[in-house]
Amino acid sequence: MKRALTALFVGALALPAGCEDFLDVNTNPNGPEKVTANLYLPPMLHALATTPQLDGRFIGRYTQQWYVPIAGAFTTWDRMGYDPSSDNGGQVWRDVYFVLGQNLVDMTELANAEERWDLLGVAYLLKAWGWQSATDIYGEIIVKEAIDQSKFSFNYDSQEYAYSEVQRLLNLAIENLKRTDGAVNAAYLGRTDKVYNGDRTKWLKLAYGMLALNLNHYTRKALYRPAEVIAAVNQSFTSNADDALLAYPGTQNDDINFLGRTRGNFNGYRQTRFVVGLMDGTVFEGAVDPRMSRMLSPAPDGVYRGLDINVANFGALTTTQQPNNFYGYALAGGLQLPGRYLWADKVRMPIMTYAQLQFIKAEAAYRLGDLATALSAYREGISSHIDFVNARNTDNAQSPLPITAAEKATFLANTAIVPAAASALSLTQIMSQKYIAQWAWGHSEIWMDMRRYNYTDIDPKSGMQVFPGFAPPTLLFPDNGGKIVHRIRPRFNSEYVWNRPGLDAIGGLALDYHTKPIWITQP
Amino acid sequence: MYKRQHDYLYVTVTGRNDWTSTIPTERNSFFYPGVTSSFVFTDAFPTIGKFMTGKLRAAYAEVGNDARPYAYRPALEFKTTSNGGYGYGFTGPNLALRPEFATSYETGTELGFFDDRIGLDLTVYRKEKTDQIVNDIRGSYGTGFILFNLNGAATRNEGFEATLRATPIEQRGFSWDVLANFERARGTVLALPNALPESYVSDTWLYGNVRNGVQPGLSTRALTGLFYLRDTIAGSRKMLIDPTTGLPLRSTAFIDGGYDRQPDFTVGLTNTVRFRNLTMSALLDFRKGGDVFNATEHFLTSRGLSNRTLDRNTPRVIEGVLRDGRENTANPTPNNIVVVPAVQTGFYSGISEELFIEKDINWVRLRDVTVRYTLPGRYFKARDASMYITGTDLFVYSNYSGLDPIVNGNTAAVGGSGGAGIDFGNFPMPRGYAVGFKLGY
Repeated sequence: MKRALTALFVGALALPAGCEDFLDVNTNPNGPEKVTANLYLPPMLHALATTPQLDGRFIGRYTQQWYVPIAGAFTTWDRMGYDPSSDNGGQVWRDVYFVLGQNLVDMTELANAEERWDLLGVAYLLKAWGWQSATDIYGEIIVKEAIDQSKFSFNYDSQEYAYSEVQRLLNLAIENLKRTDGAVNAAYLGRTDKVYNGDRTKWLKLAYGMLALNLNHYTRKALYRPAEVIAAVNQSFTSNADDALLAYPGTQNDDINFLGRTRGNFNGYRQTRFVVGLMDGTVFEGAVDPRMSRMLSPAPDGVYRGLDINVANFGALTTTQQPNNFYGYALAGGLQLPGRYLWADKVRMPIMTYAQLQFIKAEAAYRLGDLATALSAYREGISSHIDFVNARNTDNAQSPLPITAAEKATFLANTAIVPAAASALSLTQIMSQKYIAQWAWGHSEIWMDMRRYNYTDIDPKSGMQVFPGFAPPTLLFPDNGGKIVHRIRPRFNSEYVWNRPGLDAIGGLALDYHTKPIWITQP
Repeated sequence: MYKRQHDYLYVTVTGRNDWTSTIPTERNSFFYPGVTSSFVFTDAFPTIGKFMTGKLRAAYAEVGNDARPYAYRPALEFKTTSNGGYGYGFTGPNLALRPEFATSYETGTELGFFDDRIGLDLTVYRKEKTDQIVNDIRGSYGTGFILFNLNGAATRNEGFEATLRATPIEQRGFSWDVLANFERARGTVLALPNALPESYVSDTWLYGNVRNGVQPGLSTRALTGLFYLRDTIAGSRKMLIDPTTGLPLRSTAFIDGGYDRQPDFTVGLTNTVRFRNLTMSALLDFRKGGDVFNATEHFLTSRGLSNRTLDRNTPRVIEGVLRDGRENTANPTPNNIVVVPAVQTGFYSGISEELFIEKDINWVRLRDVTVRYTLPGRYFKARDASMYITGTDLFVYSNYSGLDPIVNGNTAAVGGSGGAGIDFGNFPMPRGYAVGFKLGY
């Protein structure tokens, strides 16, 4: 009996010690806790190309790339407002903090520990892209305190800080992407890098391109150094072959192009009179842009019309005069049929293009007073974008026919588009053509361009608006207090619910916060 | 005369230690004690015991709870976006997760008079949960994640229960028993993790912009929603009106509107009357107070299908003050904008759920009534045999405008205070009839 009791006692003492291992069973069998560094990459690269398209639904209305006609009224975004208590316009916020978030932190640490400098460079570039995208849309953002699970209230950082952080990260990216030592391995990176297939030199060019884009936003600042912008562009893309594009596999909903016909996200969207005006000869003295019929959508009667954003629904347009949707069909039709331009399931969606960078160079050179460089970059921008439109329209066998060499030559020879003398080049031309080259995909940069020129600034050279034909909606959203939009409010279900003290400190709780100009566009 | 000495004081002490795998190993062992006692004072003091039987009870208990599996360390998921790859799921890590504890106190008495023909049980209780684990609570995405499993909520439940038993009539062949239960319960949220402003069970956000959101200081059965904005002048609470549309402005954040689905009290009353072979028993259910959200009516109204939209062509001015910058001053501008709902469809389509949360809903309902006739004689060798007829939920009287205020918009499985009192397309309790023949062996 005594022995039995002793055995029981010893057993009882041993139990807690034995339980240590027995109870440590928290390795979730349903998913790994760590994966090899390159396996973190695909969701982030998907975000790089796709995330801007989700918020583009709304920024595209601020910038009048498109309009959502509804009967008897106007949508909040078409009135330069926002959807209260909604996460609309918060996709960049979500993906920068969550899809990149901790995943990017882990990938950076792994790449660094394994001396994979090429992947580390891509990691820094992604981090920079996140802050650049977020601050350009939201202004003040959380940078210093971000990605910390021990905190539940976050302080915002100024846009000035975010911009300097982007530059620091891009310089780190450049430094790492130049390296060929350590475990740099194009095959390893290429296994999951479906943008450049592991080619570090192209990532290096993209890093320079992103630096040029960042530095060129300082046009209203005394700090603006156009020569540095041009230098960065010169080290970036040298042709369309360098374009950063993501091909959508198109195997299931989540990996089909967000703009694709199958997703049907843009059934209710129609082109505006503003964008049609830039291409149908209204603005540029009768020069009909050959890209119009390859990018925009005709009405059933074959005519390209844009909708007036101040007229509810389709106004007086008859059914055959109402522009088709961007896929090229009336109403929600056209499922399984070819789309147009970027509006196709398996298109290669641009992240940054050679044409875009040439326009950045043109603007910088123009501001530097080097008009010859400005004109050649400007011409190269249009020419390469025409090639880009042709290339995109063959990605997924879209319906528009290619722009012929003759059409292209005629268009580039038209002095209303490309002046014969460099001295005749105007900002209106540069910025309008840049707008066309970024239409439907480069939302953040389009909006930044418009905000840098206060939407309606006049270019003294041309005597026209920098964005000719653009006018803010006459009926602004009630909360705007008569002011035009300058930023999107941070994601509602992140910040307006769970981080109100942080928002309060930057004035983010004000009803008209979205009309507060962002730092970079102010002198 | 021999008198047996009774035991009259009982004390039970318990102790329990749990080891769990769902809490990080350094904190996965936790101990909790409990003690219950009772004092039969009528045995201790026989002079009182001559007239009645009586007992005092008191109990103290602590209970620890662990978390659900894999709650503290996140795992990567295969992603279905372009080209696969891995990334974290929505829920972030919490390596500091610890067990939650509940401390409860209860005291009461059981009294019996007149040979137990009248009995009274009284109970007062209070239960406080601390370090409560809140699953899937949201936070700023600045954390890098969207949801967390966090300690740090605290709630207090307290209440009073009374049961009165009485047998007013007991004669040969005729008796009448009465059983009445009174209950008053109150739940209060004392704290939320990391001073977060609100927590809600997402499954209760089943209609529009109202959910069972709780905030510190509110009832555990509160409702938060995108309610109307009101002026901040004490005692005024006038609605703010959009000067461009004449329609009221709504909050863009989920706010408290002073709603509580918890009733003030409930009473269950059972009467049982026996007359020779005939027994009739009936349970009546009373409820006083507690709010019910009539989402069905909101649904119909916002689509112009409710009778209350019949006056849609009648011009009206919504009572309130214009939000013109003077709304919180002594001289606000009263709303004078005429709206015609038939023209300005936002009148109905933007109408706040607030107007459909009905306050202080009472009811009296007949839960069930049974008439039983015990058959004389023996049938089929049975010890006893009886026939009965039962009716359930035969009537309900309520000041609720919808079908039946007893609704639960979801099931009890959603956790928390659930969807009780949220009525969206719910059916009332069905009336039931049953006729039966019972044999007992």
